[in-house]
Amino acid sequence: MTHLPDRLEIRQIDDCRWLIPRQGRMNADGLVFADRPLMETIRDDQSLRQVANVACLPGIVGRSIGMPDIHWGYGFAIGGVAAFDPDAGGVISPGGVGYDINCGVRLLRSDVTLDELRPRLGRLMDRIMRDVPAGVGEGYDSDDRTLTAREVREVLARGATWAVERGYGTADDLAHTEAGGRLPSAEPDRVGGRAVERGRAQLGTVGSGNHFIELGCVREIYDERAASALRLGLGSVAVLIHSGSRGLGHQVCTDHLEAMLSAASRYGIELPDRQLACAPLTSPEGRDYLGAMAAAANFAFANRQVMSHRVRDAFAHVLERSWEELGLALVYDVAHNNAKWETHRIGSAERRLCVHRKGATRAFPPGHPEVPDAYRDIGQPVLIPGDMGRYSYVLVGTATAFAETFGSTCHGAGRRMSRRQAKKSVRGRDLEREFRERGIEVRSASRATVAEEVPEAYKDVADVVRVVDAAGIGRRVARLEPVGVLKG
Amino acid sequence: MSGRPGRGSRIRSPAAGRPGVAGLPEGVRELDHTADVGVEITAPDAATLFDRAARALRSLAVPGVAGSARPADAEEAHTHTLELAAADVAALLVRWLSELLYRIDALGLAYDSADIEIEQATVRARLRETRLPEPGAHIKAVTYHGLACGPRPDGSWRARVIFDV
Repeated sequence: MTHLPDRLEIRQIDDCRWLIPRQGRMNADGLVFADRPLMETIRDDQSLRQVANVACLPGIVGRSIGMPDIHWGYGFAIGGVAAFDPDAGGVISPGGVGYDINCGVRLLRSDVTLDELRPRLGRLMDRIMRDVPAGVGEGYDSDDRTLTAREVREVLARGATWAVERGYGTADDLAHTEAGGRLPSAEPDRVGGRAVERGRAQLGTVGSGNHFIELGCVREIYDERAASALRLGLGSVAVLIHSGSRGLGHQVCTDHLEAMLSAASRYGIELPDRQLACAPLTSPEGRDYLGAMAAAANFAFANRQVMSHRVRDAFAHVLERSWEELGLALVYDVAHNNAKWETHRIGSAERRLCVHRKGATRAFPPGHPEVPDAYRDIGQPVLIPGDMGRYSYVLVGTATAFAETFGSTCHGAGRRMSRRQAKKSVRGRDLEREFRERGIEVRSASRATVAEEVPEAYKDVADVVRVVDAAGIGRRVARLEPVGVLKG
Repeated sequence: MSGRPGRGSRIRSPAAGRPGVAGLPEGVRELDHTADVGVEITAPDAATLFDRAARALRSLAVPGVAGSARPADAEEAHTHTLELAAADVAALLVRWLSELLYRIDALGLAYDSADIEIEQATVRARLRETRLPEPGAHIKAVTYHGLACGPRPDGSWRARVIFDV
């Protein structure tokens, strides 16, 4: 069964926008944000076809959207956004969220300057590596850090609030986390025993792949007013933490995809790709997944909260001052893999939609009630990590994003090379020394992971952020350069 | 493409598999996918294909611990019997691999060899597994994206599966 013509029609609208007009069985147009050079690389893989495939799903509202860091995913492209209306047969698709449910990034700021930190940087990275497990199979094995199945279910219900109640952070942290670090729609009972088992030793762990803890130095400020509201000072050290719901989330996705495969045919939904398996938002299968996904999202919020606590402890130990004295406050924690109920204006009416963001960051504008009070005038902070050698960006959400992309923007650099190509390209090089010569202390559980994640394996995130800024779907505030990186 | 085996396919896979190119098992070729890792598997019959897919999964999920190599830090073998069913044989391949991935990631038990019987879209297997030094896998999940599995005109089998890394 063919859903799309062999040659997909794509039209350039302006310097940053490309339209995939409705064709074949598409129920909506596609819209991709990219400049011409980025579009050349995007055309190399299957991601544009994936944007069009998503537009074939029932109940899609507005457009199927691709961000400038879009790349070939499974089912949905990575860097895709799509909203569905429950009253128009709209669907929920686990493939539109991804295996790593609520994968996201948080940023801690500090009053520590790089000059102050530099002499103790190596020791600090050693300490973080000791205290925060990273890598494959790295979980907690001591009894006091491995949770019982019952505790995992409490985490699934309460998210980051569970962690804060146990002393891993403060109420202020929750106020600076998307959704307060807890999705109330979570239904832990819909998460299977296998997923819970996989989560027991993994709360407060980084994982592998592209996840990391990174110490960065604020090197450039583009918007003084916003940087001041976010309390980011030039030359100061900040911490980025990128991780998600770990094996627990992967298992939730696997379990529910299987259920949705049979559900899709039962509801008469023809799938252009099995990985787009989905069910109506109002169906029992759809509601099951939504409850389980929100629970896994809560696990991810708690995971990043516990890691923040351990990073703060490491700073306090090595710099011999409390983390409060060091000013290690949470700037924001935002997800880039989830599906959420949100209200958006479509034409003249407000509608409650389920917005899928897979490798796309929520970017709500100034004045939106879900933006923390401290940022109400500047917009929601958006955290865009680059690769481990160049830079990362802090942006804020905009009214244009809210109007055009359901309040979403890019999430990172996007890979340029496959993992195999990357490993091949660095054969024989001493990566640890190369990073040290660039002033970056790298710690890693596996050399292979560092080889797969070398900077040249990624596109330049500056190119992605430039398009986002020019298109108005995010506004640049500051640029950070890495000085210490912990990888899995 | 998803086919159904006309009649049952059954093998007892040898404990010592011959590694193919790049450390992957015989009949397995790695496909380049920007963010993830995919494999193409060929085999004379469905059961052998499932065995090769299982070995490919193991070599990608636990790259430091080669299948059947009996590494010094892995304990002795463990056996386990399972039966899985799906709507068709392609979905069955994903279920099979997802099950084996769960066993690596959560239980620390990695596929070594098996007696495999495939009938329609059901697999029955008696697994022989190696206990890993600790649970954990380099891949997150087995996807349905670009999935293909079925017989070719000459009767041999081919599959393509992509793993999320």
